[in-house]
Amino acid sequence: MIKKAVIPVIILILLALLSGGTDAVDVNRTVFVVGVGIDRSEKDSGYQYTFYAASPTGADSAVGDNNVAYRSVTLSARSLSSAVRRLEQGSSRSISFEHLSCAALGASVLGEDFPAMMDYLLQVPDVRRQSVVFALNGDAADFFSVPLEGNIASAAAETLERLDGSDSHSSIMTLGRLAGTLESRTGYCLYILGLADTPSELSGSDVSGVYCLDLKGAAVFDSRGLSGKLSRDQAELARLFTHGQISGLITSVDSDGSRFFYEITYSRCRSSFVPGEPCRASIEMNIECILLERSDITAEPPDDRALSGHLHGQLEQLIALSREYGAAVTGLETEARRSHRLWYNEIKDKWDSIYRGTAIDLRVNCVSERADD
Amino acid sequence: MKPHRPLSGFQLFSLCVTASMFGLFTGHSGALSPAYFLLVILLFGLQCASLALLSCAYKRTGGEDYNSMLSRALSRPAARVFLVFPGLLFILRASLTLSGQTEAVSLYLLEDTSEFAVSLVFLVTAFCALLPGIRRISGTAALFTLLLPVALGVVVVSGLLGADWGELRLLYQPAPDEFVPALIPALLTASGAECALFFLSAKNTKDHSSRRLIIAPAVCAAIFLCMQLVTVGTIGLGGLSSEAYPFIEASRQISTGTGSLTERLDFPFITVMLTASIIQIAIYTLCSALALKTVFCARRTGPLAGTALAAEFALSLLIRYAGLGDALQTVCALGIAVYTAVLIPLLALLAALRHRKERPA
Repeated sequence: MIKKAVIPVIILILLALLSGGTDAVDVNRTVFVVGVGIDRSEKDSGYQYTFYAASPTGADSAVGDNNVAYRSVTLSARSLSSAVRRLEQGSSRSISFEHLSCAALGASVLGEDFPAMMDYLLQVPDVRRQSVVFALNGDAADFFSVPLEGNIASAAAETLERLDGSDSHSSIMTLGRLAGTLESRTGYCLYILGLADTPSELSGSDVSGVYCLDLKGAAVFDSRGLSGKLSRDQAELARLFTHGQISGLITSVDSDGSRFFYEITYSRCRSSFVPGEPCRASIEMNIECILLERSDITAEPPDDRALSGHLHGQLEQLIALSREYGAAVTGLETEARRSHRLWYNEIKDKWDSIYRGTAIDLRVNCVSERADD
Repeated sequence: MKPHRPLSGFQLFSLCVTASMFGLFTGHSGALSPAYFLLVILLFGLQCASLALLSCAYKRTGGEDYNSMLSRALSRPAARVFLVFPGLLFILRASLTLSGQTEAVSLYLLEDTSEFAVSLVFLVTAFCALLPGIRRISGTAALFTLLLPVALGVVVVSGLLGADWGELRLLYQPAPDEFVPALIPALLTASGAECALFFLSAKNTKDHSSRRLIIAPAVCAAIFLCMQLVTVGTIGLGGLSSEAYPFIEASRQISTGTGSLTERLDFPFITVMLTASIIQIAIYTLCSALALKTVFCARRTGPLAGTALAAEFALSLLIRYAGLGDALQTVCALGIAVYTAVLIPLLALLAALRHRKERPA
């Protein structure tokens, strides 16, 4: 009898505790930040944080993106946490990072300790961890204030996702991957995006305005910070060091100067690393591609061996550059850490000099076919 | 009077699995490394051996409950003193689950609700689960054991398909200096099987059911293995050691091709985890009350269970607000280690030997 009386009382207590409604979210009273940009502030020693936010307009009849207005707000602050606090204080709506698409680093902060600047994004559980992180060739504030009809934050994320078709070995940096990379203190690369000089249908499909997005290169970081920048072509080529690419272009030039353009349909990259004096590494690439275009219609395309040789030469140049910039370009630091964890932990501080002296054996095998085949 | 219906083998198995919660203990304070991963698997293996010994002793003594077995092995007052130890240990273990799960809820589900209210709801729900007794709890645990693999299966399959398999090679390369810091979190993760002693009583159990108890830690080890592979394959070893709730973070980041399939999976996953945690708190509280009932020669379990719940609430507040988490985790982990690895096998051995002596030639 007592049990029968106790249970309804307990249920009533539970209802009272759970019906506080303190965690209820009204989407019409919420600002969703979809892009965050960081620049160095010109006025003081702090930073400029740009929040590119979507606010529901409250128009019930509108469909999809039409009932959302995008605008950017730039605030000066010493850290992202204080910038977010100021944003919350200045807005009558609640701020949410659950739909964040990207975090963009302005060119002025690339050489600084930017992970410390964006610690809020890396630590708060509400922030979407799949958001892409990239660098810009200009200011983030300018990037997010470009007048567009669409959403430039998700257009940037989609541009990067279209660039890299690999599955689980993507070269695109996300907030989640950045947190893990910083914890293991290995090098990494960030793509550099910018506004395209000429509009193109291939870039930024969501952006219906005048500007479109374009890959401008890649920034290479080692454990100490920014170590160098790759050009657009080098960044495209460096993608081949990751496994499972299903897009991208290879350019080949024959002895007469005719240029041939191949589209990658599938690429496989296998690396191995053997510690020793000196250390030895091998990289084996198998690339399937299709001939798309040639500069001279009468020129005969190179056979697979010549194409492999040409690509081999380009990749060797990139490997030579990586000895200066760091092993993040070739992915060999990750390979060494995974294959020889105990050894890597011991030599972590000397890794850069060890990598410079590592003998790398590169093997490239291209199999091409013509589009008309 | 209605006779007691014994627990089925599957119910007993479910109780043990839920007490372990598939190695899903989330209140650790870092130190997750390859050594942690190997230690948990090893500890689950040791639990299997420990339970096999206990089961063997149980059969030899003709299905006596733990109290009779203890009384045979030790003197009656000594048996009572012995039971104070698990009684307090289970209260501590339940309070660690309570504080860990309260933090998870506050971080991922109810950011603005006070942790005090969340804790209270946990305890009141656990009290409700306790009211109908062990048979109802075992029924709920069995239902949970049947349902959870479906939810986990989705995450594990999609996680393993999108995992970065290269990162998994790190798991079998533990550094020697990682074993000591990983021991406490590993002991807490692999705890739960010690409750089996209290389920193995003559009136609760059918003769054949002890075999299923033995495989319960092995099942937990298999599920723990899958979840660790998904976690490390998704967020890397760096992510595993930097996140407070690595599996929840991993389930939000699984790369499935469509990108966002599992992105908001934390909500159903945490809800399932909370249900399991409530049952786990109820099981630990019940075991604690059973132990203390024998110590104090009490006739009823209910008041003792209520007192244990209040003590758990107070301890969870100390863990959350007085910074005693690390100290209490260490005490609890070492207590569980002594209890599972030393006292249970010793009790089993003594009981078996005493029984052999008493058997007529």
